[in-house]
Amino acid sequence: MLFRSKETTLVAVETGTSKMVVAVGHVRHDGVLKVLGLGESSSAGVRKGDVFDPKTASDALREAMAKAEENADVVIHEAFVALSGAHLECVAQRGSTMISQEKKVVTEEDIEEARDLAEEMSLPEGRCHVATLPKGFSIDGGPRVSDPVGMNGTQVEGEFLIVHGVASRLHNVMDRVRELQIDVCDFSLSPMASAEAVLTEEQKKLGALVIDLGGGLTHYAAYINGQIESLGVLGVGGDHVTQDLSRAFNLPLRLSEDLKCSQGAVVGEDRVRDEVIALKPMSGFAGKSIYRESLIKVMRARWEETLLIVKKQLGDNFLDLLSAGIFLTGGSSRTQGIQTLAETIFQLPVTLVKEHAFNGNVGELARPELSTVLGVLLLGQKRVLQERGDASLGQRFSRALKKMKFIV
Amino acid sequence: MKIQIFGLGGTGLQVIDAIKATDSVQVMGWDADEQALKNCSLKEKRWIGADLLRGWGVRGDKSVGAQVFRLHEQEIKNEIKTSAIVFLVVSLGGGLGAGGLTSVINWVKEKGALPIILVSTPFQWEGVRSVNQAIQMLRELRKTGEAVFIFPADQLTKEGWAEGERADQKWSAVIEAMRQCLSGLMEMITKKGLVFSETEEVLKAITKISHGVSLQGGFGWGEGKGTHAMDEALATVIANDWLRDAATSAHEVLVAVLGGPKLALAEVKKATEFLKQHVGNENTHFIFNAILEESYEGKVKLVIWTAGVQKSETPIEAPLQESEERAPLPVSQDKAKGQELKQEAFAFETPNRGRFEKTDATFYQGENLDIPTFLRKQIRIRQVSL
Repeated sequence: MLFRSKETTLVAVETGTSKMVVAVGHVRHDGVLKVLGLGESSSAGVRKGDVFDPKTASDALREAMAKAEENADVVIHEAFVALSGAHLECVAQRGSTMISQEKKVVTEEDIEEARDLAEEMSLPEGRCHVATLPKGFSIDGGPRVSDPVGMNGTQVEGEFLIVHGVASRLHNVMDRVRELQIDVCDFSLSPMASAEAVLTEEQKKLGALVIDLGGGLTHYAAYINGQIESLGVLGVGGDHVTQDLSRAFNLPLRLSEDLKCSQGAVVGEDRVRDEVIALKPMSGFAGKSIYRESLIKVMRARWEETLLIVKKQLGDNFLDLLSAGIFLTGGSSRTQGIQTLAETIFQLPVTLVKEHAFNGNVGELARPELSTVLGVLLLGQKRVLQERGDASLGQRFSRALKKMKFIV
Repeated sequence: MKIQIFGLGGTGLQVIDAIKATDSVQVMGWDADEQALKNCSLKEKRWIGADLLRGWGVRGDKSVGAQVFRLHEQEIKNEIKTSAIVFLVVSLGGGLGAGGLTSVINWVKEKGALPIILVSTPFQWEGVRSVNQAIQMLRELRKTGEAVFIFPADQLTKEGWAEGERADQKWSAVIEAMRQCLSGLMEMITKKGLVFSETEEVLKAITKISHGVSLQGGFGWGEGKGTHAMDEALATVIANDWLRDAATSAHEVLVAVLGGPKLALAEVKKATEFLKQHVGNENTHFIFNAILEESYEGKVKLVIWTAGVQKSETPIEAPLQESEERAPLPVSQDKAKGQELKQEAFAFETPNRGRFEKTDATFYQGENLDIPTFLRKQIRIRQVSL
């Protein structure tokens, strides 16, 4: 079982490109999740969500973990881990099975069988199956339903998103956590975690897209009728903008990062055509002036391209189904004008999500870069509540875990 | 998915002449040489630059080639299908195709289509101007991160010349290799494989390998029939001129195994093990895709692409100097005899990915997203003058 019935302290870990974050939460008896504390450190050894320098990454995670323990006043033994990386890919697969003529209603076993059939696909060498996410089911070719258990029929067909990735890279992330003598009790896919933190169940039913603009990656998850419809990870993030500025103006990376955070914008270059930004001299840099218009051009080119790729991957027809609109989060969603740019590209209402509805120190949590780690906590909370309400669900999770054992 | 194959100029026309058009594959030749067009059996061919050149071709002048394509901009744009995969086949040493290539790539992209480019580079004895032009163009193609497959003609002369062998025979070998590469890529894209069933996956593998091809890349193909079809195909593929040198330095390898539906998996396994032994090293990353269908019953075909990594000691290929003497042309012994010019491989500047050097490059539809967007899109960035 994932959670022992009395133990309701949850720990979420995100090994991001810009930062390592550990969040500690507590699910109270009334089911409410309270955030007890956070631990953060500047990330190192991670690029585009992949660990490239294990030792440095472990040190950074150790620092974040220690801070979280101190702030939440707990000793951490196990944690949920957010998984991401540009190597993650997903494909839609179908699996169908005949419903037992004795029972004549869809059972959990039928769903499992359909799922097993959908998972029967060969993957290129080195890649492994990461998760299977149900998109919906149909009984005898009828309309799509999210939970067919108990429905009458002769055949049930399920449509699933099969997520797969490079096994060694997933291990790299898990190993960093385990090195600290902390058990990985389960993982969440970062796109889904961010969506969990940002969307209400109502918005998922209406149709919504969450785009998390991170430091090393941009990931997105789209929901229709309350079910995941599509997700993706693109190996482009705020790091690329920093590098673009460095190349455009011949600046040290650290200065480019500061420039991006303090002056960065993606709209309005017409209004600042001849405005000049003076960059003060510092060690190893003689000082320089740049046009604000040029700064905006460089940044807009990158974010416009990134959002257009997300749009293209989803397809135009799909956008019509997003009645609740688009939600931007992640550290790079702080970029001035990004909401306007996204609205122009998607031609849909766009909301910037900075705050999360949590109990706890709200001021500390009101940051878009925390969406993923807080989403992991929320997914943990959901499981705790399901376990409390339905003992058989615990078995179901155990079964799911068995399938993922090669990773965890 | 719609596929278009455009042959630009004389070489392009020659390569695509034997490619069959189907409902989903359009094959079209564009040339300024009226005679070459008449000799070509393609159904769809366009005579361009007729008013400007009166059917005489551009005589190797790239700027005239560019002018000709600009005059036909709208006509060409109208032919490019939205979201298609467009193969552009061209010689970088020539005038027309080389001149028009950059513009056509941009027009393809404007239509939201994906350009995949097959280019030949000239023999040294074709002249310093041609060789330098090809080097320069390849550098540009790498800078903009295009998916390019390169066929350096000079590679075929490294082992010397067989007795009585003529230059046109060597050239025919270049054309045939380009044709085989094109048809191998087409098979991968249009037919469902055992490993890659989705076009997107195939395109990803193709674009990935194409970006490394220009860095000591290699290519080979081989066919076999009957009981020992696989052995025959393997022996042939490994003997390919363009694979021989590249094999040891291969970093990424993509292999298409084409056979009949009865081709035993043991045979496919045999091919993978053989190629892993003979190509690359323990760090080489292999991708195999097997395509089994009726038309290959009783035979086997292997197509292999390898991509190398730029070694730090490899000097960036310097353009040849006009003062350097040309290497001897074997068929014309009376021509100038001079020192042998070094042109072992087209090794080009790796685009600087800066802080992303330690990561896998992020590609999307053939573009390397680690290269700043403003550079790839050629957006002018105004600088404050001192």
